[in-house]
Amino acid sequence: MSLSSAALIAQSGLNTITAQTSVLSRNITGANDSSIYSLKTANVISTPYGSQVASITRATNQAVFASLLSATSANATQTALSSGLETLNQTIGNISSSSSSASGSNSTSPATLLSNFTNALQSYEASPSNASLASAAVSAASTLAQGLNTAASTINQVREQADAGIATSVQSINSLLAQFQSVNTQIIQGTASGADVTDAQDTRDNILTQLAQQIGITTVTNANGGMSIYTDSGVTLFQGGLPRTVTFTPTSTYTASVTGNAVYIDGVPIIGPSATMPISSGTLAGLASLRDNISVTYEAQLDGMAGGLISAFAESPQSGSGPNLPGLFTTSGATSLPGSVTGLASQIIVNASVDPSHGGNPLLLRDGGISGNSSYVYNTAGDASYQGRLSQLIANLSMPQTFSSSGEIGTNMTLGGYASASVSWLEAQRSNASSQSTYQSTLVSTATTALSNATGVNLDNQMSQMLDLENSYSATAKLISTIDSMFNTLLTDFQSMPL
Amino acid sequence: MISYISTQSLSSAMRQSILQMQSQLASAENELSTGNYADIGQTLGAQAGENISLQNQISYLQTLTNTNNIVSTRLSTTQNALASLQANAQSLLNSLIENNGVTSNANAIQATGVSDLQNLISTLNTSVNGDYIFGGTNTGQQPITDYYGTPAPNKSAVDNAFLAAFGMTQTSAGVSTISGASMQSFLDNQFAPLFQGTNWMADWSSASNQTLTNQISETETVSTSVSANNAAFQNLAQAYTMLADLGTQNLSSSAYQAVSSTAQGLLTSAISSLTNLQTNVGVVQSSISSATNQMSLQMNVLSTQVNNLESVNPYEVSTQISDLQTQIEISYSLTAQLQQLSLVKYL
Repeated sequence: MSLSSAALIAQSGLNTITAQTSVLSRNITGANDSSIYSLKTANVISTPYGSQVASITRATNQAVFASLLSATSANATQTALSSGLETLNQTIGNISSSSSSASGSNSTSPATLLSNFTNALQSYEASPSNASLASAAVSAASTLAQGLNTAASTINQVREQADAGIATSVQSINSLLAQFQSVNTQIIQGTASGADVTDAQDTRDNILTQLAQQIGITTVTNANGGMSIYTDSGVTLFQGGLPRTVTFTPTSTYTASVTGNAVYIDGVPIIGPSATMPISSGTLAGLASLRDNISVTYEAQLDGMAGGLISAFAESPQSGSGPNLPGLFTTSGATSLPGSVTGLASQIIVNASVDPSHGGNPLLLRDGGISGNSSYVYNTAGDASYQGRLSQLIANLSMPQTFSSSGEIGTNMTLGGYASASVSWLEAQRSNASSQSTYQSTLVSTATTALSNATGVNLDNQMSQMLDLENSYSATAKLISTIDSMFNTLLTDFQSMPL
Repeated sequence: MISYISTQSLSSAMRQSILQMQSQLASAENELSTGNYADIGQTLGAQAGENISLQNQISYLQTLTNTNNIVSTRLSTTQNALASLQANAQSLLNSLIENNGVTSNANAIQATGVSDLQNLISTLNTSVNGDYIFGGTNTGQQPITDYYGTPAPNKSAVDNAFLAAFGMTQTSAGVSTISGASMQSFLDNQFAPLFQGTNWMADWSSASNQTLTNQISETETVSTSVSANNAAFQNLAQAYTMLADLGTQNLSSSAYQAVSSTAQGLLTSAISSLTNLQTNVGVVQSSISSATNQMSLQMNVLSTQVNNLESVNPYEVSTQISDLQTQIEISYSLTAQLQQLSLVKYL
């Protein structure tokens, strides 16, 4: 053992301490990183020739990370649903009873508008000769028709926004997959050459959490350090170092009869009505459920109401025979009753021949013959207080009707009952999405905390390690200066030695 | 057990809980000031439809209450009209009975007949808010043709029948020659049919036989008007017309006797029919008022139910608010203290 080898060992000690300090300062910088930063550890090995940093590893916890990914996806689904349902809730408004009067509601829901209209009709039936009550009934009817129109257009808007959201989501999935590819390659190469890939791994985890926002995923780590990604339904998103292409053709305008396009991964549909392997979480899944299920069902309910109104107010021939014709409620330019209810909510209007704002005569509500055909006139005697038709209309409104099962809230009930069931349905969806969303965001924050505690940095811990390193450094420096002075002594002695 | 905590989760835990508590505080404050849930629809969920239904039922009952008020006005006008018609008929009947067919008071009786006939016509033409209340469903037209107006098809019909039966007009001096028997036969066979069936509809009335019906509560529908075509009014018109316009001033005693006794019979039967009508209207009036009372009780119950669904318990909410305030204050001071708790401060 020579003095110079002692100097070499001390030197390697200095190098190791510097390397450790550099890892430490990386940790301190990353302590409050809001994206994923995992604690790095310098692994020091001792050899007979001094110590050295053999590798840098990062703290990981695969199980906690996987649960963060799934919580993130589930939360994104509920957030997307919740915000869409908030928009749909505009069709209902505030359902509190108005504080100013003992009766009636502030709500703009079809149920409330229908009730207002029924009451106006009831008042008119009590005084059929009163033209201003007739106008009031017709104006309540057009408010109801416009309410249905507005609600239908809100629904289509929600579907359009969801469709645009899907397009954005698909775009960001593709760009995230491209980023993932380059980082993944870097990690595979680095692992093979033994380079420090921990920062790249952090970056890859960050990309995965962003991806999980958009679409539910599961991951598998390969022996070479690379990773494969699958959707939660099992479709391959990334494998063998290559991302799969996610494709989607947006639809810009929605009506009741338009069906949204599917999103494909390598030709496999993962959302949309035709999906063979439908994904269950992520923003994409939430938007798809909003676009293809909730909005469609709600629209079917509104269409059912519109169809129910048109048929309840249809006129039958009073002399001779003929088909029933649309009465107070109709669609633009209709000459016969509509065959299917699809899209009626957006088309329903009050017949211009009754509507005073279009030059019509509101008294036709009492007399019949709204279609303009004289054989459909009920009040043939021209009595000012003819009640027969109005009583019939009120009875029709309270009669059970048949609704399509696609409304999901029953098929045989009164129009008023159906309208309030629809309010219940939407509010139940909203209430459910909101509590799910609260629950899922709690899960996300729990998972985030758990992951941060498992892999994050504690500053105090790092600071105390820094004190240790400082001490080692000064000890090593002392060692070097001691060795130096020993060399000096040796050399001085040699000089003073007589040759 | 957590033996290791990262600096980030230590600080973000506090940050998140403060955010959460602040949003809870905002909604609790809203609830306390309005007395209702901050988001009623979301709180009620599937019960939201029930809330809407209850409110709709309240406004329906309110509508029925309002229409009942209108109907009540019509019915009390009808009731007054019937009462005054009955009083007139009764007083004329009393005079007829007192005079017992004596011709000396024939002029006075004739004058009363004229004024009673005019009164009958104007009463049956009563209108409320522009609606002729005795018109049945045909409320847009005066139900009874004025006997003394022009044209007066009802008067022409009487004149023509008289001329055909006796070969002279009612004002002719020759009416004194008409015998009691032939007058009785005229009254029974030619005169009476003028006030019935198609003759009545053609000459006297444009009212509809169909009376108005109204829904007065959720379950009751009642007939709420009296048509001018009711037999009571036909009998009255017949009795008044025969006293007013058959030349009674100049009739022989026996012919006058025939007119007087026929009129007495008609008036008696009309009075009893009027009493029946008044009773019927009274029954409807009382069922309307009891339906209205019933509905007001029902509305109270329903409002309570709506209130139960929508309202928050103010004690609960204010306790919640003070709890939240305390918690938020603790969080603030904790955050400040944690900030001090770092090794860096001691190095």
